[in-house]
Amino acid sequence: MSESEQSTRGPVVTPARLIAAVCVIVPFIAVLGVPIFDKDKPEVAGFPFFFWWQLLWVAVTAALMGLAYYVVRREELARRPVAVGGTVVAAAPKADGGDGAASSETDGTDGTDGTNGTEGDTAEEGDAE
Amino acid sequence: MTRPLSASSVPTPNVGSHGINQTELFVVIFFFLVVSVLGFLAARWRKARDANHLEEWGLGGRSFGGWITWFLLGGDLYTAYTFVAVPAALTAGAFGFFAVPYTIIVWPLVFLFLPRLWSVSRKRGYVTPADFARGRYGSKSLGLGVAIVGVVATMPYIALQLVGIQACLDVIGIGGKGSSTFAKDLPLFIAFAVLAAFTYTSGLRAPAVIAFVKDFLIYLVIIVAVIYIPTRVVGGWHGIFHLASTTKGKTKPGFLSLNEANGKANAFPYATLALGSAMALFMYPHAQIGVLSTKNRNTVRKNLAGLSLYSLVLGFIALLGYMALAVGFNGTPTGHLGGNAQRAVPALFDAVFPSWFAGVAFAAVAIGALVPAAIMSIAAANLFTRNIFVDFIKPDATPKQQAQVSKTVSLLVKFGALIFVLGLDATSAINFQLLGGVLILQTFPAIVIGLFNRWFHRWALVAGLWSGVIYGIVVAWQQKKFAADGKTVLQQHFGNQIAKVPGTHLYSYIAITALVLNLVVAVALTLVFRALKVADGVDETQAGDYTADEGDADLPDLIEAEPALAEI
Repeated sequence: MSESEQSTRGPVVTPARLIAAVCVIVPFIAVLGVPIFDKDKPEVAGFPFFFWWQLLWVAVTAALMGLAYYVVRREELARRPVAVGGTVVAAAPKADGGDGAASSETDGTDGTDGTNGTEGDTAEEGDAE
Repeated sequence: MTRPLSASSVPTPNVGSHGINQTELFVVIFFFLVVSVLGFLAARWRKARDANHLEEWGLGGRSFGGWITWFLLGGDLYTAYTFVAVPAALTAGAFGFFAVPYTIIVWPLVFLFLPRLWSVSRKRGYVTPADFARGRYGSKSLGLGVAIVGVVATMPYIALQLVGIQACLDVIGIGGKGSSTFAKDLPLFIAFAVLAAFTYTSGLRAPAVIAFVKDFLIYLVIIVAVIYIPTRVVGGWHGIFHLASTTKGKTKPGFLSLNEANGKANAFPYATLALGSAMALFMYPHAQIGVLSTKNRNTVRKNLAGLSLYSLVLGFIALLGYMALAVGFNGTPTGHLGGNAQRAVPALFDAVFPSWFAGVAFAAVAIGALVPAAIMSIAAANLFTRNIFVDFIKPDATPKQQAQVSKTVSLLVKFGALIFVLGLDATSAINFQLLGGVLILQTFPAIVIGLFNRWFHRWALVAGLWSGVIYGIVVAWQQKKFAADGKTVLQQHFGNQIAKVPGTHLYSYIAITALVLNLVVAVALTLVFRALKVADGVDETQAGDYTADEGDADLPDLIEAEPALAEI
């Protein structure tokens, strides 16, 4: 998805984005794959497996979210040498009237300043989706 | 186990058997007054440039940083749902624990799409999810659909908050045996009058300030409960699980894991409830408000690891349901709760804590229900104003008139919720939230998919939305809730939100089945409309909008620039 937004960016798949994608996907498998944990043994600290497994994944997911934010943000900052406040983003014309064509059109516009680091997020979101 | 386990040291009085516990009542009233004063003072906090403006009243001026956001988003998760409904569901077995995977996977979902929603909303001045749907697809009808579903779906969720407060008041002894109907409902009316008053004057700033008090009380109560109660049950946590899962010496199936005895029939409903609830959460207008009122694109993402703490605490709160079972409270007619499992947590607090601390705990639950109720009613009101009132009734309404309409509607929504409480069976409150989820999840394609991709045709999305909603309502209407014997019907309509998926042997959360139907309709009709060359709407957003951030030179000023209004 949103290929048009990525077309003028650097490589679409970067190690950072790959790590973030894994961080985002793994919790779904771990807690929605019910057969994985639908049993009561082994017990830990009095908690049946079913319960401690899911509680454990709260903590694991928190750590994964922290990691995902860290790698994505680091890559984003590396691509954007200028501080956010100083960035000049090209003022895109409003209401372009294009249906669906809007996305590819503006892409060129902010591609010119080359400093819009948040673009990294977009691509990452696209990947993981 | 060779060691005998018992919980005889904990008394289990019948709810309503004693008179009003005055200490508890006094403590609750005290905290209520503190919170009310704070609510009124909140209007002066971070003084608004124009308090009557909708963006100011409804989004707190989009100025909230990390800490406030953490508390505000906590209001979306810590509600009577967490404190009353989920533990009550656990008293019927491990199945109710689906709330934990639900609140786990909600954060990866948030990581994926909320920054884009924040950016496009900030850039285009969107205040509600329906604003986005309308702007993205150039379709007022789609905006209207999202708005109507949002307002209606919020009502049962607010109703759940009322049920939570009611459960506390029942246990304190207000509205117990011998009270008239008037005496029973009066405390609810008082609570809502106070809530309505400070919401009306302070807007979103009131719940944001009160959220601090609320979270402090909740953490205090939960830490004490989770550490102290296991010491009162012989065998600690092991004892709690053992006692909760046995009756007359026999292990009950479905308490230590989903369903040891009868295969894995519960796995799919469990997973779909978790997935459906997680996908639905940030479709609610109130949850989006928490996000849109943040200062920049990454505020929420940055706080995700911290927000997960909420999920962990939710897990332990859920287990209060097992603690209640372990000491002898349960939802059966002989379970000391008057046959109403919603009272399990308040009754547990009442039984194990000294009265003054039980009062603190009830205050935490009651305030924990009021704050989300306030946020929800504000959000629903914003929706109505922007996407129904302005779009269809009075297009030239001034910002001041809009704020006025919002305030009035937020009152009406609260009364709508009251009708839900009185109209549906309140002994299974989690149903209220799940019913809201069935409806709100149908806006997922228009919002979340729309954030990434604009392939769908606007009319196909409208048709998909309404197909999903109608299917969901019809199927939910046909559901019954059965008593433990499996025969006696306790509630005729909307009694249960899990139904068979047509054409299969699987049972699933109705919201997910309806969403699949919604998507199938949307895909099929998109192909048809494209083939017939039906006019597509104009997309007012641009690719760069989805990555806009605080500090970008071309961001519109918050108050003056209102693209959505300017174009009318």
